[in-house]
Amino acid sequence: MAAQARARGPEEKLYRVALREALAEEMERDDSVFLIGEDIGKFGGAYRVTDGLLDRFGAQRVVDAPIAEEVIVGTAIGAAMLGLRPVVEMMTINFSLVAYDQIVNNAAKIHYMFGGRSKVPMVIRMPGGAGHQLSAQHSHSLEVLYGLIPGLLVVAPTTPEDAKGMLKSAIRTDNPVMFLESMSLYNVKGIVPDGDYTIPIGKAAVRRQGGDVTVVGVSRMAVLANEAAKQLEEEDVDVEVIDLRSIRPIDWPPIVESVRKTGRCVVVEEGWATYGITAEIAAGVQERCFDYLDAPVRRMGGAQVPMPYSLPLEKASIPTSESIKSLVREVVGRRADA
Amino acid sequence: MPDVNMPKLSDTMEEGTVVEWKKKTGDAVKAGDVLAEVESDKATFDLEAESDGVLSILVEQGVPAKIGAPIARIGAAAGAAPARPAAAPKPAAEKKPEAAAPPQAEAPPPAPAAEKAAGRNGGPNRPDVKASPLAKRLAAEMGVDIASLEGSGPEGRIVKEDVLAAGGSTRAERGRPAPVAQPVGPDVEIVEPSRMQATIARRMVEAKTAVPEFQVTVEARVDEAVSMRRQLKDSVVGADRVTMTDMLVRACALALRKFPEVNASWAEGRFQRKRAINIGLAVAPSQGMGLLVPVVHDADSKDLIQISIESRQVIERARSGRPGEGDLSGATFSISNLGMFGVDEFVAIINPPEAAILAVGAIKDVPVVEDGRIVPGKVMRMTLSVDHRVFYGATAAQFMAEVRRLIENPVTLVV
Repeated sequence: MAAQARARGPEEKLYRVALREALAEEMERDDSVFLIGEDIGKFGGAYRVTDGLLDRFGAQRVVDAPIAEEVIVGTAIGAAMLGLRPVVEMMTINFSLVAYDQIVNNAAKIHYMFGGRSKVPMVIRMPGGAGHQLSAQHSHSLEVLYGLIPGLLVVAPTTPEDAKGMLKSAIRTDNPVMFLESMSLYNVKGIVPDGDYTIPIGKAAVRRQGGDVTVVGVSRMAVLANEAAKQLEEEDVDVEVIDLRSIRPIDWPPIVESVRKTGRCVVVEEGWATYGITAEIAAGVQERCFDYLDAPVRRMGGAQVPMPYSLPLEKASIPTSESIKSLVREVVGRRADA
Repeated sequence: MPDVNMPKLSDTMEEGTVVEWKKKTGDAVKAGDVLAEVESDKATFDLEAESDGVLSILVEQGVPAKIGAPIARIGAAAGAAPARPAAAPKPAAEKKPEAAAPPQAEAPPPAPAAEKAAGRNGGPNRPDVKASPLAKRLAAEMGVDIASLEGSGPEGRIVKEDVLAAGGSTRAERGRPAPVAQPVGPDVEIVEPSRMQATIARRMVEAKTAVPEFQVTVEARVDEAVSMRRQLKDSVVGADRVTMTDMLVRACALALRKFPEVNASWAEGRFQRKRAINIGLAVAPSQGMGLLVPVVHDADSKDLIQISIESRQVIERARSGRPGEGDLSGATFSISNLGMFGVDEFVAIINPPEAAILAVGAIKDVPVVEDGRIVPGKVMRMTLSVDHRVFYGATAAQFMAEVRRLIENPVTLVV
């Protein structure tokens, strides 16, 4: 953040507003940036992220698309190859599977397969995550599906400041970026620096320093991990929290440094734990930190079910700050009543 | 374990010879007992024991030994009890009398470094020690023998803190208060024993070290005893709670009357045969609190119902913490029954000065071969621990045969 911005005094903004600011500022800055997605124009976006942008930038740059995800992404890829910078909004990450072929077989591979002579500078924004009783087709955390694919950059900012700064970086990147937003974060407020700033893609953030155990959180789970860490402080458990932020590539140095310091590691994601991002991180930690581990690396993910509609079942299906706390206690060898 | 050395019997003596060992390896000896006749260049002397214990002979008779060379050892009972004839070290001095046999059990404690190197798998990284990779690495760096540590982590895993605590470092390096120095992990709770528990601990060590003990186990058919117990419950008022232990008290009392040498003690080099037959019953006052041995006095003169009533009373008084006079003392023989806990068989430790204790296991339904046919039967295993100073294997076997006969023919307990 620029010193100038600080002098003017940053203010608290909603995560969704921070995203909107990033889009607007980038569209102002660069004529080649345009938005395309379902209901993003007149309706202002299912999560109101693009609210007002149609009026401001016109229908040529804020394109309301039909319900045809494969076409939307295919159009964006073609536009990107020809020099535009499309920002796609998928209504939810679940729907992106309809466009998975475009994303995996085209967006991710073109730069490589064409020997670098063609680039795909595009961003696909997609909300994910459960907690709003939107049932199984609207509530999943499928980050791992994109984390798997070489050629894609995959990020999941958790704070409004990061949302804005990372979206700007994503738009300016010459490679396709999967920009994963958690539905539960849209209404979260946080300090957002004024003015133009970017936060680099591919960097994790240490949210909290601690000496007993490292908790690596993916997307909103980093926020919950931070809450859990605050509460565990009262139990004299000193938790270091790392917000992964970048799912592909993984920013190993801060994780390794932290685990070597604490000797213990817990990884949490909202997605299904089997074959998950947590598995990747747990494996990487043990490869890099084996001689420093004082306990097995433990991971926590969502229940292995399609997300239930029922509110209590939905709550029971995803990690909570309480469940993170109890896993952390287990790893550090303490009981709740100790 | 004191050595018995070849004494210097005269100024000119350089070596001596045991003409005759008066005791043999495995014998319990007391200070003052004549161990051997030793011949010097001038005369023959009686060699007396200077301490109590069990004798291990190092130098056979007829073989000369230098003065000061160990020719025997007087040690603890364990491992040298005659029931399991001690692996008496074959005297190395037999052929080289000047070479004193090196004491085997008294080897100096190995130096820490040697101890570490001698670890089963070569030091701090023994894979059979449950320790975190970090703890293993730290232990190797700090030269801490990880096998000697208690783990405070989940499921007893040795973790960093345990190694740091052992290595003198503490949590203070992280800006935390150092834990109170203690030889165990920070998550181990130290519990002070009650006076009773401290006494039990001391006496059990005494018993195990001072009493040359052996065991005899028999298996008894108890179909009839079980059946009789049921009949008593159904037909006799006041006998509703006659237990297998009560029947064993009666059986042992009758057997003790027949074998007075069992109802005895070893004291001051003599047998003390007790006129009264008082049976102690090992009971737990409450979970984990220790062990009490309330006594049924003159058990041989009481019938089964009286024994049942009286044992219940003394146990209840003892458990309530208000034992009557004599309730906890004067036992001449004890019974410890863990059958109700499902223990098949076990060995009880003698409660000195008693000469024996009977350990009783669970009644089990098993297939029994009877007249060439397999029939269902109820059996119970009983193990008698015996002070070998007081009576011997054959007596123990006969005594147990009598107890078995009585319990297998329970009508003998009521007539």
